[in-house]
Amino acid sequence: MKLFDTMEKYDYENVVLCHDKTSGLKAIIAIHDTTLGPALGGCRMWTYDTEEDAINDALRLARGMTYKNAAAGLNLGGGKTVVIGNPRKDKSEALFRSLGRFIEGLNGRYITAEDVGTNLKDMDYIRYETKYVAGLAEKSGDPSPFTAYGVFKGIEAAAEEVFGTTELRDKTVAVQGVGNVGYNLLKYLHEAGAKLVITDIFEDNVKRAVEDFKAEYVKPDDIYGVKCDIFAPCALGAVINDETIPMLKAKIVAGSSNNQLKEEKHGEILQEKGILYVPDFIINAGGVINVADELNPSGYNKERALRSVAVIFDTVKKVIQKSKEENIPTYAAANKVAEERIKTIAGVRDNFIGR
Amino acid sequence: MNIFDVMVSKDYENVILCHDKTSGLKAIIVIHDTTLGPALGGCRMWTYDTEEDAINDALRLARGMTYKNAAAGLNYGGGKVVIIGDPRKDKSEALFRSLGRYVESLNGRFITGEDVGITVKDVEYMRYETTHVVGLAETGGDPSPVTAYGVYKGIQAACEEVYGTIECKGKKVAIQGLGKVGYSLAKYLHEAGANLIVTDIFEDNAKRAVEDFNAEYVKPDDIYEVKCDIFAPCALGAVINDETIPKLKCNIIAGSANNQLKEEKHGDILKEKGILYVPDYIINAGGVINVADELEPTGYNRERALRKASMIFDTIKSVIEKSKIDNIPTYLAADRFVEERIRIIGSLKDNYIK
Repeated sequence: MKLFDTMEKYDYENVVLCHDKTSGLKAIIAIHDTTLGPALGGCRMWTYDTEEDAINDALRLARGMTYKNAAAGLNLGGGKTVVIGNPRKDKSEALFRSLGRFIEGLNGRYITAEDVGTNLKDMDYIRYETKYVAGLAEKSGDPSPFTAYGVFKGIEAAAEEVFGTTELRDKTVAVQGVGNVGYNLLKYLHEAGAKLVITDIFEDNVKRAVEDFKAEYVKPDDIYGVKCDIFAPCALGAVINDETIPMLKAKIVAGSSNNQLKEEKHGEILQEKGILYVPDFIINAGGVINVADELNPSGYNKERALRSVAVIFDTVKKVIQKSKEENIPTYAAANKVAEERIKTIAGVRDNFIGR
Repeated sequence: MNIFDVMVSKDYENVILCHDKTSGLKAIIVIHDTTLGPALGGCRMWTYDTEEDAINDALRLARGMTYKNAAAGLNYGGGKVVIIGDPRKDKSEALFRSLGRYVESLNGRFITGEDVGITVKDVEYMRYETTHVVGLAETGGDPSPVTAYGVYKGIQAACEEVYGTIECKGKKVAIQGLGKVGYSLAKYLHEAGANLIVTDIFEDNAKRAVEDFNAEYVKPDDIYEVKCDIFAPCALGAVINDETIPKLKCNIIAGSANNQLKEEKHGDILKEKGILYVPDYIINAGGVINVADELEPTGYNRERALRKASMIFDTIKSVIEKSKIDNIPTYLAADRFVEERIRIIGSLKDNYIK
């Protein structure tokens, strides 16, 4: 594996391997780009087969965070931590405290948070050793409602583009996955007067959605073919693929799940078919925007966090605009919006204004 | 290459890859152990064939610095930074400033300085971006005299063990290499009344020593078999090997060169032959002691640096003692001496004091 080749190709700043004998910690902190500010990205714990898999995952996820944070309008760069280990067996106070010490050693260049395989308790241990951790229970709390609110604002922006109005009254929305984020999204959509068709692999999730929002249930495999205005994937990744695209009857794809396009080409196919795809990392940024609000010097403020999340409306409009101007798929337009912001702010900040 | 396997087996703390697009920087900072304090170790620039070679070199050198700094009695851990590139072609202000920024980002966990391929000017560029560098022209200055002084004190300690006196008067010392450190050492030995036999691949260096200290000159290949009391390798590494050991006619090996033993087994062979080997990283620590003095809150002080370098005498006595008690070669006794210091100081830190 040639790490520097990858670092050169995608312009990474640091790959930091951390080891602690006492706790058995093996972790990789990848810092992709800190032009906008400290790298913010969660801490993932997973039983990787090889060291190379773990490093590659950290690299990929760190770069994703640069784009997500930049597009979300945050003054934060992109980074990620990956802990090699089994989250059900290998966790300990010592493990997360030793990781916390390494994060502290980076002096604020990287800020961590919860992610797949880690929880709030783990973050509390990290917090014993460093202040560079966000997403604590007593501060911004559960990010799901904020993610859902951002998705709702993104859907409104897409609706304005496609239907000429942000009004969702009587629009049919097919929501795939009605767990934490999906359920909160249903609430917003229901209040806006939308008709809801839902699916979920867990029966109690389905029951709750049907009862609370008069949603219509379809089987998991049938959600793609639902005759609807908007398809909102809020569960799995890679749901936009060669099999599902021919089934879609929606005019808009806009949901909270990560990595919705199986491959980039599927974003191009959506564009050819005239289906507006709202890029996932733009529309699902509400969670990170909320968490980042903890870093405000005056401390976390829920109203300000919601206000910042609402900006996703404008970002989605901007991405759509760019996609039309340059005649490129929206996923490519979203990347450009992020890259251009980084470039512009770097240019603005190259003067000396005192230390 | 599995980096974590190496990190686990030799207990490393960090391997940090640094890249900067603008300057083209590709560097690896390795922090081995910071039990005693911030990792202190130089910056090396080299045209490594592969990324793996560069990482391995940084790993090896960083661990060496843990042992060297700990043996020198310093409150510093071990680290090293390696830049991938040609020191004659690929240097720029931007390159060293971008590295300086990465060193700064570690917030003092790692302190660097000059090493192979790096000049004071390069260090000064790093200094634009970070305070965590040492070895600047205007502060510590040339470390060679302090290194030489440390080697001289080490030779005295070895003499006391072998001859029962620290007096070097009348002792024959064969010095291999008369660069900055070798020349300085020759001066100390000459003043102490030792007889000197010297060699160097550069004629000027040899000539200067012959003239200044009445030294006898031999050809580079002949230095190993000189009949002498002390052989002082002050040039190349790996000079104690299968070919040279049978030629040696000395009782003590004590010099400033790094990595004098080609392999560990050559340290074992010296012990069997009754030749006292003074471990290189112990005896040549004067340079790092000098540079570390720059980090003192009151600033660099040459007298204090020399005083600390003279402690090498006591360290070597302790290492020899350990080697005798445990009946192990001195290179091994040195490692154990260091590991013990780190363990003891590490466990001192388990109480809460503020």
